[in-house]
Amino acid sequence: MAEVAGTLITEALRRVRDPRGEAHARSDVLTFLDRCQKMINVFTKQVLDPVTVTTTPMQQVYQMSDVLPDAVDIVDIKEGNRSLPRVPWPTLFYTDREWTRAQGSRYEVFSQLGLDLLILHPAESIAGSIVAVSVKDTADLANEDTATDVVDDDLPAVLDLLEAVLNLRQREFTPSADAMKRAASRLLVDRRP
Amino acid sequence: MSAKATILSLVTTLAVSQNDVAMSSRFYDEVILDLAKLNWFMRMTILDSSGAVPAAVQSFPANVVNLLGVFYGAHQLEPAKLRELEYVNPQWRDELGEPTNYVEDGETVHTFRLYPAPIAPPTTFAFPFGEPFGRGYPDEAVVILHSETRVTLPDYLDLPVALLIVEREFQRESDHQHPVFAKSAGELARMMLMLVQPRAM
Repeated sequence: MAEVAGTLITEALRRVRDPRGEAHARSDVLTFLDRCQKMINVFTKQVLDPVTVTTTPMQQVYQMSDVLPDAVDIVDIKEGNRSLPRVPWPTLFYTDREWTRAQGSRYEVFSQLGLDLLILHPAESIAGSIVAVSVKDTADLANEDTATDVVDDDLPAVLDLLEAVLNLRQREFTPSADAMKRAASRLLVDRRP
Repeated sequence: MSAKATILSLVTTLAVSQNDVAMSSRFYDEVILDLAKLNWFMRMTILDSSGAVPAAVQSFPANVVNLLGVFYGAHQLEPAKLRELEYVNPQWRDELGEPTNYVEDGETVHTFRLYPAPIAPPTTFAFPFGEPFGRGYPDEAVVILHSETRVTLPDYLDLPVALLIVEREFQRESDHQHPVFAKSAGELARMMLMLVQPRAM
């Protein structure tokens, strides 16, 4: 069950011995909490967002900000019920020096370059659609009544990371490092493929 | 997406207003450049859409950081070294034909040379979708795949970037220098970047 941001802010402030929010304004902690939950979800890939993308004939390269504006990392691409294998983009060059003009009756593979480019290879000659399942950029925490968007299992790691940031800000370096290590070990134990 | 001003505001919050705002702004640019060098931000760019024969020496925009691929028409060109081409033909710069390679050695910053030099102008650039390699995309055109610097970042990069700026700000000689704070901020930032780094390409 998702928790509202205000509850987590109160918990984090108690952890850093500032329950009344005198060193850290609650609005600042809300901003830090928002960014921490986004980072943890990018890593654990728990909150996913399947989006149908209409493809353009003869086009292989798509700017993700245009077709998948809320996507962070593509986990799977499906054309119908078929998943496309993910390949490193240099593979396209080593298999066909003219890969940019290759055409086929269906997409065979996909690549993601950095945070921005999606390649669907080879191009289809007619418009079609694929479903891109990607890690979602979790919803912004607008105020303390907003519920968190990450799954409950990830909340301990979010709080540990937030605690590390708050301790660092108040120049408590050992507690900050301890909270960071706690978050890291929790994420390594929980690491999903 | 977060603009530079949002991240600099986070820096001020993390530094409890001890930071020098002008220096933080410069450090922001440095951090973005470092991330671009690691190929976090990618784009494909058409270099010349004038319709004339592409020049042998192509220059690319200032925000391009790493050149990862060069395409001429349908072909992805192979990188070549200056010395290799000199062995093949000392007058290699005068050769004309359809480019097969590109060379960065010996050229000025933000330029590369096509080998051999192109002789044919591209077909019309009135292609309907405006994306490299889309339907109607002309032959004999030059496109590059590259990493670049950005003015806006995804929200989840705000904290690690802000902490890297704090690291630089408190490392430098100043009236608020604090090496332990700087080191701790840097360690936390690098741990966060490991969480969100893009997969190997």
